Amino acid sequence: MKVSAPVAFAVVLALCPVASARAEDTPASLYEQAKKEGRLSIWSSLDVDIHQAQLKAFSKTFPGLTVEAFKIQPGPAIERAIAESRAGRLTVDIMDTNSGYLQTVFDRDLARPYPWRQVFGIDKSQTLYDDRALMIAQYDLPIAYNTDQVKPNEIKSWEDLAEPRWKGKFLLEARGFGLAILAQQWGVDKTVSYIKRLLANQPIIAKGASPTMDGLASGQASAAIGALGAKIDGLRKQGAPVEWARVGPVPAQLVTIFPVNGAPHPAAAKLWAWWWTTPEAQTIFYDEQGYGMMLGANANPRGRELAQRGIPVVIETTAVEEGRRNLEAVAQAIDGLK
Amino acid sequence: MSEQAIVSPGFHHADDVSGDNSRLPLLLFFVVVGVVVWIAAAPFIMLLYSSLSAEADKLPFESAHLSLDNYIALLTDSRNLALLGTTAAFTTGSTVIGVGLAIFFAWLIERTDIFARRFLFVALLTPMAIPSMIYAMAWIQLFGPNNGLVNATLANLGLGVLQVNVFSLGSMIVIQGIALASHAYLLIAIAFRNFDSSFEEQAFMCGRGKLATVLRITMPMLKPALLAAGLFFAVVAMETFDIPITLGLTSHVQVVSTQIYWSTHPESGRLPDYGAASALGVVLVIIAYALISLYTRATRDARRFVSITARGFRPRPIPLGGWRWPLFVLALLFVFVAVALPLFILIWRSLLRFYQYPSMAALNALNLNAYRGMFNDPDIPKVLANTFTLSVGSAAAVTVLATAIAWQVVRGNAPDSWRRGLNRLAFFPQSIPSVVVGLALIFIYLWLPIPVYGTLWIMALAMVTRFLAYSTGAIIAAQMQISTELEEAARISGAGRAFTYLRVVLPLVSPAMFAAFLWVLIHVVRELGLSLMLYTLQSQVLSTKIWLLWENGRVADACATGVLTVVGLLILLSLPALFKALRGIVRAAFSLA
Repeated sequence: MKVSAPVAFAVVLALCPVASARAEDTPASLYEQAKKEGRLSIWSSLDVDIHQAQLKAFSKTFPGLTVEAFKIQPGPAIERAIAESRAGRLTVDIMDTNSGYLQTVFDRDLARPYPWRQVFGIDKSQTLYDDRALMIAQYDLPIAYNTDQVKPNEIKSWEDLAEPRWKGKFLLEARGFGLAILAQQWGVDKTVSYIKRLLANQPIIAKGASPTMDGLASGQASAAIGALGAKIDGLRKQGAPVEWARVGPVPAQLVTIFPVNGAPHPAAAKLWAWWWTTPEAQTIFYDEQGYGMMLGANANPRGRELAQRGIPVVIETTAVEEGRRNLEAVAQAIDGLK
Repeated sequence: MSEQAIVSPGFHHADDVSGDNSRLPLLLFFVVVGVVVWIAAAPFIMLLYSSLSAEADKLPFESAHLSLDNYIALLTDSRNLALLGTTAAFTTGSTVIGVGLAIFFAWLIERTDIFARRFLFVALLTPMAIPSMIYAMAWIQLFGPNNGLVNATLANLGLGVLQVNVFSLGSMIVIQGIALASHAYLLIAIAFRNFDSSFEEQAFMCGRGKLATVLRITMPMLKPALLAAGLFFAVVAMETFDIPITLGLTSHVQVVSTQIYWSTHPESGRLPDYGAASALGVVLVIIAYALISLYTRATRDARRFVSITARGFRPRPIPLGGWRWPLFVLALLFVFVAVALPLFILIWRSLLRFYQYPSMAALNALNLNAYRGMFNDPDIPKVLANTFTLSVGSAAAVTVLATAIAWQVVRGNAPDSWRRGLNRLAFFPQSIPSVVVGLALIFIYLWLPIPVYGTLWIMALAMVTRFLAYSTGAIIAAQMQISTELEEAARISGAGRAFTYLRVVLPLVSPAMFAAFLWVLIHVVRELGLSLMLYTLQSQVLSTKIWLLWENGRVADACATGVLTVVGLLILLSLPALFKALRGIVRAAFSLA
């Protein structure tokens, strides 16, 4: 899976004649512009540390750029970007977000199509929404369990947690990201019916991935729906009694990146966006934080294990409106009024 | 003298004192009003406008169509009736518990000879420094159904029948009340401190018992401070969401604040529903308006609450006699449950990568990694410097403005209705949801040619907006305790208006100012909602740092930073004692010389 950055850049440069025939930009010309721009402002939902790790590797191939990564939730980030854009004072160059927020971005022309494939040779499967955004990760949300309280293979299906023996013994994350993705396969009605059966089992409902995983690791509950596979792996490596169940289908959230239209440093933003799709960047992402792709040639070890076991992975739909409706139906089913 | 003249105007005019009819005081009134309008108007206009904006998935300033749809939806959705009912129960219950506990402790610490008053004072204020999401989580780790420390211990002792269900409306009310007690204490304590004990002594001499004296003499005279606290913390309880959202989800208990939270933090990718949140916010403003009107009516005749007069006063402690030990044990019990246990969880959690029930294995796993990481974090010096600048600067600005408002409201020579209007104006921002305040400030300062967007300044403006109401209430209550006799005496002796204010009034109000300063400072340090909306890479503060760590699943690191915040608070609370000691040393040195 590891491909060094110079090799990746050489491959990209080799594509330049083809690319330049189709688009004005080339990686080399973008880099020249980026050097003149000198810096890059990132608004990210990811841990800032990962951007520092990526910058270290990125700078070996593209030295001379200063990167300022700022952690901010996608919602407030997009609100701020809209306000800044309308005031003509954009300060952000590039943003990453889960796909649900993209329609808001597209509606305001804050992301425009770009010939990623022609300029960088990025695989078609990673360019989304008419080439306006790039996919950089698929966050898996498997069922997780506490190994002090649950035996391996004890949980055999999603239905198990609706059985009376799990009454009051599992955590359910309130926003229901994973269940909303499963609704793509199960249908909304079946998913809502499943949630009602879960609720009849009196789960402990937690808001946010952190309290969910902390509650699971502490033994507050025996199992959890809504924990991130990457975080479960991370906690287990630190000695926490947690594991993820090899139970399908495993839902996975789409995480995307896009250069902001009208940004002060557009060339640097495009180079950075491309960087995240490279195998080297994906390896760093997995090594540092356990995230990455679940499917495809760049699949991370969890994704590869699921493929070997024949356990299906359901990736969040790129039909934004459908995804939003599913999320709203699931969140409302979990907690009435929302 | 007519009844009207006795009862109204409620507050004493400056002219009553000085007979000065120059226009300068009125000009000062308009300056104060101008500043308050500048602070309160933008969020308030944004609140009204967004409550009328009708287009889904648009920010308020993007919407071209206005309608009453949000209000119609609010009034016609049958679920909202239940929501308001639960909110009323939650707000009333937690305010009664919180303010009741605060009154009890303020009386105990400020007015009696209870043991270890300094310790109790610091202990009571400590929970304010614990980040709210960690404080809420701590209660689950104490009283969670499966492995909560207290519940599990009770089960192990065969006392399972005493276990508490933390996920219930009752628990939410009690825990929110306990949390409020710490916040309300500062406001109420200062009123008790300024209370002239001669009133109580006269009651004792007339044969009244301690309880009767407290109920018939002390409490009525402290009505402005107690009502201000009740009013303010009722609004705080209405808009607080950390505890309701942490404990209410499992039991499906929804209150207005959690509904506003969900409306303004949609996880589906849509923009916040500012329309629905703002319509609810307007309801909160109306409720707050009604409450403050009641407050103004109840405290109309300020002369009834004067306890600091030209005769001088000594707040002599009341001897508790045989009740000293039982009350001390009761206070320690409260400190143990409400302060020591959550603090223990905070510290314990900071020493473990993941939470473990206390055991030998857990003791062996304790480590200082989170603290090492914190001290090696290159961001920490900047974060601490920003936090210090923001908290001290905002607290100072709020205190100065609140003192000016209090003077104008209680002593100003503007017409009554204007002064009451100013009082209400200062209170309004408290009822506006944080996200609306944040968005209003972003909108205003992106458009105005004032370079504060993206800096600590915009965060300071937000903090002044957020915390003005509390400080104003506290200082008005203190101002009302001061008799005009003192100012009259100074003026008769030839002192000018400014001299009288600086040398007579200000020293008497200064304890309330210091309490307000301290309260705002602590709350700025822990405030998260507004900071998250307005901070940038250059203006990170402790609360956003803790949130970042928490969001990244680094709970131990978040707790270690929380411990740092608590330590900072304890140092802060020790400062008056340190200054006092230092002053003593300096005086001793000079006298020796």
